[in-house]
Amino acid sequence: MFAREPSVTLIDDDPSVCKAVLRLLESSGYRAQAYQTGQQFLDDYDPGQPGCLLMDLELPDIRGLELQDQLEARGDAPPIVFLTGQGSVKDCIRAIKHGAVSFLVKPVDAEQLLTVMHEAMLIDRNRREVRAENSELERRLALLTQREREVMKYVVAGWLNKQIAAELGTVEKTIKVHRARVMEKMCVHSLAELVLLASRAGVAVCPSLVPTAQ
Amino acid sequence: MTILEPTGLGLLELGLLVGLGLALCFAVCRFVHLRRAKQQLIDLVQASAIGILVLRKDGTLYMANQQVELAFGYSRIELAGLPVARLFTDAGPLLNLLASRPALPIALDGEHSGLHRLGWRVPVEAVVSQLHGVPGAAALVSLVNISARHRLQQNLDQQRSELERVSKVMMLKELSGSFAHELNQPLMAILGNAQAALIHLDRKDPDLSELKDILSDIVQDNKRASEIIRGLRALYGKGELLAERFDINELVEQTLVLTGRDLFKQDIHCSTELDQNLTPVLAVRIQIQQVLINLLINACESMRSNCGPSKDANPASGPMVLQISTLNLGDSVQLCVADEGAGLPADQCARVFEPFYTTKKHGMGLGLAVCRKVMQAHNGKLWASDNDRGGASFYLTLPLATSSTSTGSDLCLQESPVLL
Repeated sequence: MFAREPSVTLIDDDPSVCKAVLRLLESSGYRAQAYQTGQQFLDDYDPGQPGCLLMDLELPDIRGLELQDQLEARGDAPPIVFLTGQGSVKDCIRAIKHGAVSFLVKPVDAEQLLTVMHEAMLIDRNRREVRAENSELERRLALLTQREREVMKYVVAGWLNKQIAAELGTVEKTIKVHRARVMEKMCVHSLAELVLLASRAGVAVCPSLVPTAQ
Repeated sequence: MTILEPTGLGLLELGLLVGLGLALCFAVCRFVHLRRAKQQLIDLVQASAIGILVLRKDGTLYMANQQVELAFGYSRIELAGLPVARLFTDAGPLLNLLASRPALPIALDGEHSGLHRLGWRVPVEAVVSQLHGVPGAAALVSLVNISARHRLQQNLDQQRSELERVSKVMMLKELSGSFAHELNQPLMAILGNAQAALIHLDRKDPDLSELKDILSDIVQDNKRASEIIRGLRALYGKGELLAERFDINELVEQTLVLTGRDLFKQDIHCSTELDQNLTPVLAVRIQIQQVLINLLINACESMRSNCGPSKDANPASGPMVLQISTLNLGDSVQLCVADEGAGLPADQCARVFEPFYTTKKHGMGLGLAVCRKVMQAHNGKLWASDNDRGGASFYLTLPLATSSTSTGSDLCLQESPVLL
């Protein structure tokens, strides 16, 4: 699904730690690159690059927790794993509450590190899939006209064409055409599929589920 | 004439008689007077606050006063005729001095341990004087019982080591994060490298040159870890306090590595300006390092407590700067730690070095007092002043190794260990 291969980004100001962890990750089959400061990472940051972030809690230029906040504020934060030599329980709780995948204490065992990396990579893949689906859904929704969108609300609520026509003050044939266009633009083949997409996209099902006319 | 004859004889006899009578009277008076004088002398000796022993030629006791009875636990009767050697664990030096018959009173070198009747030791200092006019007595020994002084000294030592321990614990607490981090970095690298090597070895065709690289990195990091542990042990252990020649710049750099993590986070930047023309100093390295760490901790605390809230309000102002500089003054080396903290009002520049004077919320006011003691023991100085950046500057100077090689070394070693 992804054109680009996922990779682990390591941020640690200690060159020998960087070297060792990169070696470990690469020999375990991960692509990985390292930065020594938060700024270097940010300058080079590419949100489109799948993967996860493995970083020290105290970088020379920024606290790891602040960098986490910055990325979170941008809305495209990769899954973050903290790797620290002096973490406090307080820092750990804060990091996890703000969405960090894990909080590892140096020296960390390869098995533990690789398990967490695997988990972080899965999280990233799921997030990217969901994000891709959502943007596709938004793209399709954007194709709908105002009228079609209105008709869709009634359709997914289970109204019949003639009921919708009566409600919107038009003829059944027109509604039928609108419904066909909605199905086409949303790329679905059944009402059930449309309902599923509409609920995922959060389309309001405004009118009561109980049709006014029997 | 005849009348005069018997009268003349009678006068002569009478004169003789009177003369004899007067002589007798005089002798009796003198005897009584002497007895009284002797009694007075004995009373004086008895009332003396120091112990007094009067010895016969053969080294047995002729007389001893009450202080001796009290200190050594013997009664006056037991003391009479007792060989003086029985009162000391080693009476050799005393007997030698007695045998040399000194013309003037002379003190026995150092402390001697007296022996109590019940076997315990009584620390004493002694002075020996020769006696000439007292028949039967050859010498007088004055003894000062210094048990009380000893106890006091012991208490002081105990209190001081307790203070040292507390100060060390406080410093350790302050820097524990740094130490843990410094040690965990090489440990992480070693573990990572070793496990990477294991994965390489599991392959069909392991890359030997890569394995060699990994192993040499492991060796490097291992050395780095042991260096840190060695530094910590020296800093907190009970190592010997030996003066050595070392370069202050090197000490500054190593100390910053060891403490940097805790002290200089993102809000405080440390800049160094080290004079490359420094001559080595002769000092107890660890003590100077402890002084430096103390100054660094103080400076950082002062900056944080001073600029904490305002910095949050104005993050654009950038990190605060702590400056460490060294300077060759010709006959000594100067080290300066300058902060941007609250600064020191003129009256506090001297007071901060007083014991138990503190401006910190949780401080004990001991750090700088101990630091100054350490510097004085090294023939160095430690003082404070305001600086033009609104903070305080602490200066310390140390004499060069060449200018006071012998005295410096002696001083450091004689001084009882003053640790932080």
